[in-house]
Amino acid sequence: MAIGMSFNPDKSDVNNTSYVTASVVVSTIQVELKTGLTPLQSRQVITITNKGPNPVYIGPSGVTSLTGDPLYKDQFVSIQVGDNLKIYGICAATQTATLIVQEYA
Amino acid sequence: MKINGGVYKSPVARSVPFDNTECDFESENVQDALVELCDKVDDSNSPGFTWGRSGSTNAGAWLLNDTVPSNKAGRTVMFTGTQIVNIFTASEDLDTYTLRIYEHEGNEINLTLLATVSVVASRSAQFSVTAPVTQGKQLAAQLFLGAAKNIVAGCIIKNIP
Repeated sequence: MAIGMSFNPDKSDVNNTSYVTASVVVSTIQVELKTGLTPLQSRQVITITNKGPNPVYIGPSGVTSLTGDPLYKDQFVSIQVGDNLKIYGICAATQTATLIVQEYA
Repeated sequence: MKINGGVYKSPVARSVPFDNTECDFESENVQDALVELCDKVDDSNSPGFTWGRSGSTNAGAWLLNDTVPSNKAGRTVMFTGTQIVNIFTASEDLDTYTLRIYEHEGNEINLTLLATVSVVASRSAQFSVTAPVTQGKQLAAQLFLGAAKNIVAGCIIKNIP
């Protein structure tokens, strides 16, 4: 009996199920960053691009402009995170911004 | 393998720190530093020259640039979309006079008054003005009224916002 096995590390962990995009407007109240009503099932990566005009502060629920990680206009962040971890965005007082949110599964 | 917790953030100028301890900038990130630099370059858009006239100068006299009466040949404006934002003067005595800045096309052709400032019993003065200038025309300065001894005058030109 012979047993053979092959493994291609180049394609062993490639997102190949879903790719969804959405525009999300953020203001002074935190907004969960996702492309649908809930985070994409089996999400592996989320990419958030700030189209401006103001910075958006990224973090978990309860994030504020003082505690969040700033994402400036034309800057993007790519995070390897599943659908159980919710990511929020918020702007500083009187500001708004539009984000392009893309989720990969 | 996850690097940095599987997070990548693209760099933008505003997110890049700027070390201002080696210069007189106030900015602490590259974006603000570049804006500050633009403002400083804006300041140097001025001609950086002055007109003057040695001795006693009476009303009607044109100040000189490089020994040439500025109404004959003045200082050419090199840039478009600019304006005079400041006029500064100096003289030897506590003089009272009115200074005018004109533009023309050489030899007083199409001579156009741009700004008028008045100095009262002072050796130096500066005035904030808003006087658009025309690219290609020559700027000239005239002591319009009064008198001054060893008078020097200049202006700062900036881009019109």
